[in-house]
Amino acid sequence: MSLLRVDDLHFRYPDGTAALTGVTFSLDHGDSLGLVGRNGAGKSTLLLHLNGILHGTGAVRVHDQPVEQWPAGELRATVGLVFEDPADQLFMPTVLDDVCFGPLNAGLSADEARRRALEVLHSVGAADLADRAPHHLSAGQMRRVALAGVLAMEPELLVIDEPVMALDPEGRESVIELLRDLPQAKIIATHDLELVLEVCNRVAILDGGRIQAQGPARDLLADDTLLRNHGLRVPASLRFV
Amino acid sequence: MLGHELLDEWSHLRSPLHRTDARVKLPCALVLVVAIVMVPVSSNWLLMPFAALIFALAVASGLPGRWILKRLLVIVPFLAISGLLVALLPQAEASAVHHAGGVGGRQLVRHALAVWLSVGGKCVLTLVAATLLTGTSSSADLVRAAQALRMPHTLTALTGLAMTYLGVLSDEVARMITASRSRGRVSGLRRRAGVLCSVVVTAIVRGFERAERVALAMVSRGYDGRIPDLTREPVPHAQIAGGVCFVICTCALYWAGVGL
Amino acid sequence: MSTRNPEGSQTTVAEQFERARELTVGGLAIALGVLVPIVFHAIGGGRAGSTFLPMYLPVLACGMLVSPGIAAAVGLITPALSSALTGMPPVLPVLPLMVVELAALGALASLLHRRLKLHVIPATAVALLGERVVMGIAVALAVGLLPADLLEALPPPMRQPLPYVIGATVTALPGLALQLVVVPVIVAAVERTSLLQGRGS
Repeated sequence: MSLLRVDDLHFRYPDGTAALTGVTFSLDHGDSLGLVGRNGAGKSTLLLHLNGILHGTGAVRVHDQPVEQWPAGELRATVGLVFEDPADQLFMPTVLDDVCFGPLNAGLSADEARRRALEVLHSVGAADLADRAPHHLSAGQMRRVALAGVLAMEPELLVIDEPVMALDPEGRESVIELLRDLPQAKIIATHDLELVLEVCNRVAILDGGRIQAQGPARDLLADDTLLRNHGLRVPASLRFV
Repeated sequence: MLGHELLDEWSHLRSPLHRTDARVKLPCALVLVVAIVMVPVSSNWLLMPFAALIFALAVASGLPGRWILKRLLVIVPFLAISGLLVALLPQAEASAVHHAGGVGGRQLVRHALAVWLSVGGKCVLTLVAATLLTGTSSSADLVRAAQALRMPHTLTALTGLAMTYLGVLSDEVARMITASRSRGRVSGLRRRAGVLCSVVVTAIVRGFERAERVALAMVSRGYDGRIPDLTREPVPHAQIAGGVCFVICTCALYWAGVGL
Repeated sequence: MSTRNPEGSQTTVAEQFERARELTVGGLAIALGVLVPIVFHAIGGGRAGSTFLPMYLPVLACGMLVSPGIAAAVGLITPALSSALTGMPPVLPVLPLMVVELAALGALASLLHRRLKLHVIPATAVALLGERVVMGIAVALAVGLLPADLLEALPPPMRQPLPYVIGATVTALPGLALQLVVVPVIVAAVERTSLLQGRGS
């Protein structure tokens, strides 16, 4: 039984723009999938389908059950979505309250939620930030806290949009280390192919609203012609091997 | 540039006022503001003891005096304009009275001055009181205080989001202004107005677009119609007692002053 | 997909998103309502406030995008929070009046555009007109109901509702024109880019 299975998913925005035109892929426990593709390829739109916020035609199944049939709260706790801009995701006045948000919505008591939030903050190396206002943090700290907010819901699948965008090299490295150490299955949508090489075992290339190629990360990301056809370039670390 | 100066800039200090829980400070500040606003023009002198009280609090707050004065600068144009209005209009009335053979023109002017002092004094004092409250509390503490006062959930949720995003949006606006300035100095009223409009419109549109993304993030983490109350420790009894004393003293000062 | 909320009724994802969106649009509108006047003062200088009504822009645009209750709450909180944080508008005599005006403005905009499905341009015009009427009623009520002691503290022009409203409206003509032009632009831009517009229908 696969953790996630997407079959022939189509989605059209209300203004008529076709964003997804037949996406098919699957993911197992322990998998780490890099979702790459040019701007406007449909990456972010696809991610919003995975926890039931957008609904297209076709099927998205989590644990072989269509997302439409999942109780919303359980689905959101199983598939954790981390957004591209952490500022969009840190909407509570303090870091601790933000990380408590998900667990409290899931029905945990205030004490349990607080305990879990502190544990998760500790695990992402942000325990000392608990009482700070999220928007006064550095970009790297905000990423960690945003990730903690989703990890506190104890998801089985982490869906992460552009995790290292706008980070300095040090912040980027520390986020990559953190992602690599997380045991959950992951889907990471990004333009940063080096990150994919370091964190993901598989890659899917999304272009024109559908998956154009998928396979082991090291094989696909070394294929210059394939990547160029979809607006991508072979990452430097593979270019000189 | 703007938002961080408005909130949380000095909330890290450790003065007695900072250490007082916002759940005590907020009701005290509200009582103080209402008492000041209710002072009748005929008892203008009563603003003096209130001013002394607020001055003492300002000293105890450890907030930089320059910062408080900078806040007050904003209302100077308002005070000047209302001063002009108050000075000019009754003089017209007074001269009318004088021409009609009546007396009391001088009294009318004196009364107008008293009105202006009352309005101006109240504006300054309430603004300093509000500045002391927001300067000595973090935005999270203020939201907590509003929740503890049982303000309606919609109001506290909206205020919390507004305060949380004030800094983010102001940074965005500051970047837009810098970008427009870096493309050369804009001269001429019309062009400056054009730049101003485009900055403001873009800021509002981007703000609302961000609001949608924030809503998506909320739903993704299980939001279902209610933002949970913020975590909080109980208020120490000594602080509650102190707050009650403050409220009683403020009310006593008011009643004594008005009764005299 | 649906879930049960604490009251026991079913909510769909679209409804959950809509509730969250109303709250976040409202919250950010309040923040914008504090910021935009600061920008106007910084670039436009001195009397930009009473002439261009910058605080009206986010409140009015927000009214077009959320339900009347949230829109009224936004109108209620914006001037109060701005007054506490920036000193503008001053607590006396402008703040109480602005709280009433902006709450009415937001609620009216929402009623006209969202409930009665009026196009955004006439909705803006009618909401601004209605807001001026509410301003007149509020001043008249203040004059009628305030105890003599406090009434004295009102500046002389405010003691006569009709001339006051006319004066304020003439001063604010550039601002009212600005709202008529800018609010529809903002609303159109937001409605066009709205990710989930019309979803669930």
